[in-house]
Amino acid sequence: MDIEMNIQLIIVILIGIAVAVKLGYEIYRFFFVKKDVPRCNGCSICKINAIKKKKTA
Amino acid sequence: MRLSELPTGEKAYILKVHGSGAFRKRLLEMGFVRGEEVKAILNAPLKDPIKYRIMGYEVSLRRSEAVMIEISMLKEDTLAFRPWQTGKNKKELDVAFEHVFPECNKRQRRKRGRFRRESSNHIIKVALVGNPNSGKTSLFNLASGAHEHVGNYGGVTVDSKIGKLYHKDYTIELVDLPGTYSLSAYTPEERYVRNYLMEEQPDVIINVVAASALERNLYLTTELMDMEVPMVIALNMYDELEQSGSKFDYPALSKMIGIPIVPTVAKKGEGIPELLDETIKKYEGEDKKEPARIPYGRVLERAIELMEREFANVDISHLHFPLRYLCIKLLEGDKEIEEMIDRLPKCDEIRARRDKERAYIEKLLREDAESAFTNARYGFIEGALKETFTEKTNIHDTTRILDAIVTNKYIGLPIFFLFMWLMFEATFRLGEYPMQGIEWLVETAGNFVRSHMGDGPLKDLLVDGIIGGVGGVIVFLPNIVILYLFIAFMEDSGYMARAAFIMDKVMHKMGLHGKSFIPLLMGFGCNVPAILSTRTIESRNSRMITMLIVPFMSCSARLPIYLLFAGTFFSRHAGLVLFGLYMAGILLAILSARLFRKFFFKEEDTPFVMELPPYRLPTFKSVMIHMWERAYQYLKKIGGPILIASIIIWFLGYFPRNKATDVSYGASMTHIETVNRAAEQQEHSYIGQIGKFIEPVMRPLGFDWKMSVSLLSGMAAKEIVISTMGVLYAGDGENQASLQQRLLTETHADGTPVFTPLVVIGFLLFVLIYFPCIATVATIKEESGSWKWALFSIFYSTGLAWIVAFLVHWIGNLWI
Repeated sequence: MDIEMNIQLIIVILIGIAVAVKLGYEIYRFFFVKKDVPRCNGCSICKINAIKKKKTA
Repeated sequence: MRLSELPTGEKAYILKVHGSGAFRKRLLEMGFVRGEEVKAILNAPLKDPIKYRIMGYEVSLRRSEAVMIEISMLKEDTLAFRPWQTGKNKKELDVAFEHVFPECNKRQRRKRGRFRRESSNHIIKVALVGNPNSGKTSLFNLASGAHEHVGNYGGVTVDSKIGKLYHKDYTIELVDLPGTYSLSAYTPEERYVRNYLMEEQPDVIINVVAASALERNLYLTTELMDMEVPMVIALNMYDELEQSGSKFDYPALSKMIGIPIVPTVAKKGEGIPELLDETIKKYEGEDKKEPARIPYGRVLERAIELMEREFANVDISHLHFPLRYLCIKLLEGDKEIEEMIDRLPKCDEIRARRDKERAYIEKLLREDAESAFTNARYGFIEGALKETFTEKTNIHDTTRILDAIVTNKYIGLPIFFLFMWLMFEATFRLGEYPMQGIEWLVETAGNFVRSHMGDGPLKDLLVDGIIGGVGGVIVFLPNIVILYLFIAFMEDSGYMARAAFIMDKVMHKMGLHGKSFIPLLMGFGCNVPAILSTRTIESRNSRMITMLIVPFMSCSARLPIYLLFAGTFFSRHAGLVLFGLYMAGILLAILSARLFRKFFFKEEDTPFVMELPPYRLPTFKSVMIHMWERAYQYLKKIGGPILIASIIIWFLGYFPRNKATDVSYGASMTHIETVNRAAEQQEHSYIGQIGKFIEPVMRPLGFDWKMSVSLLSGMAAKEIVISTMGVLYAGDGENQASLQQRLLTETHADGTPVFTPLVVIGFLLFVLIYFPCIATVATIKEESGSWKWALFSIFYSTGLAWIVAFLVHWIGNLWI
């Protein structure tokens, strides 16, 4: 019984590590990875993009 | 006489459009040009806006905007000089071409070097251009096998989409561009499409022309002709034209303008191979026809010619625009082109010449240059169609009858609210049956694991974390699919534009635009595309307001929470509770809009010029695709963020293990002791500590720590509220009971129920109003260009949610 409990605990810990890695990656991606194609059309004309360009500069 | 004074059912002729700027330009482009017949069809339920028919299509205008249009009941009053009007047949029209623009037929035109392919590889870059709602995306989907969102109203596509297809040894890279009425620099779409065409230089352009509104759709074609782009015309929805009884000699028009025209029915895939064949021919230069130039008449042609002379010895190759087009746009007063010219040498001379020519045009034609060019383009179209097109308008009979009912001034609004109520009632009632089946499957899976697995943390994770959490969310899949069935019907039938039409007056009172109502309705599905769709709103201030109020629209992620609580605690009136919640969202959105308009965005809103498309019966296939896409996305979300969140919540609720608690209960426990131990363990766990930490803030609302934690976890995605509750309200630990049963039996330590009707209502309202999900916040940030408004949205909505839930609890307790 104890062995089964320990095996279960090890599996749960492994799942926990995998989930933590996934969560960390998603948070990193959300804040730090710049999208190749931004949601907007990516053109250089509207006011919204003007704000973006200004910030980048 | 002004258009606003035209009685319903009466016809008149346009004399002049007053005003200035974008509004006037948009009206002109949409066909409100001198001499055009216009008919007042009906008033919206609140007497404003008014629906007019012009050039065979329907458009809505507010009274305050219609007053800017001068009309006459007599056609004779509107006659003016137009070279093509003097010609009654094709021969004379050709003479007019020759006379006004002799070099056109002599093939002396400048070669379009900019668009010439440089290599003989077999990859063709093709751009789809056309008016809003002309069927570009349907064509794109069919040709490239994509499943991009389509709908029967303008502005569904707000982003360019790229697809690839293979045809006769050629790889075609297809780019679907947002719909645009013209290529002026007034709206973001117009500028985007124009700059895309010039900067990206696609090999061929497929100009999608809706056969149901030919005259207006061809306006964009004339602008594309001015830009000298290699073009093939897809005459889309050709079946509607045939069914209406109209006759169109499109080969003759094709010959006349020198551009191949291929009739297509994108919805059914008819004409697509032929269209691709023509595209390849164009690319390979096999199409020997030389596109015609638009003859603008003596006065305008002279002005263009003098402007062209002004550019002698000025290098404009870096501007990517043809010289003639630059001159026309300069004369029209296009701001973007003006800015380009200001960077050139001799810019002062060019500007001076331009001003002189504009004055000359105004003096001779008695109208400003902008109107003169628009009139000339429409005149050209009118002349060309006179020879090739015989119109009959039987097609609009169904639309007319349906509109007489759904936009009726007395029953229009009640029908809209009835439809909304029906949508929520069906979502709840019809969804109940498959929901029970899925619930049974979840319970069976839970009980199977319980009885076949030895005790341990993995079993607890599977039963309480994964099956309890994910299973709580997956049961609502049928309801989501039903909700999307209704949304797909609204979008595909053309009712969406009518909803905007009948609600415009209300929206206007709140300082918004009827068009803002479309993103709000789309928000019932998902807030993210709804925020993206605000791009169709011309005014930045109105767009910002709409973006900030979209999160008050109950998206489908919130629906499971509503269904769970309404079904559990108000099962008899669940449909009504749902309807009430959605309406509360709309009300809060409207009130917030008014507040934002007053304090943050004071600019006047934009005019309500919106095309009302004819009704179309949604096809079974398109509705099925809509529903499948949503179901797939929901399942993907369940397998991704919801599963992850359920596991995290379980971990936080399971650890740290409190050995002292285990020892105090001993090895052999009664059932009650087991339940108490689990509750005590949870309270001491990480999640319990987090819950206890935030509980003082939520306590005034009547929420316990588990509800508070569920709300906290729901910030990532609203469905996680349910999965968290599924994990936290774990039940008695013996049988897998449904979450509904577990919530009903949940009590405080003193034995009083946790979920009283007041607490449930407060909780539901809190869920409706508080923190938009992470994806929505990210989209607000992207679309507004800064974190400022994203953070504002978070704090404003959460603060408002707290106040509303507190008032419900406090006032409710005074009554009960």
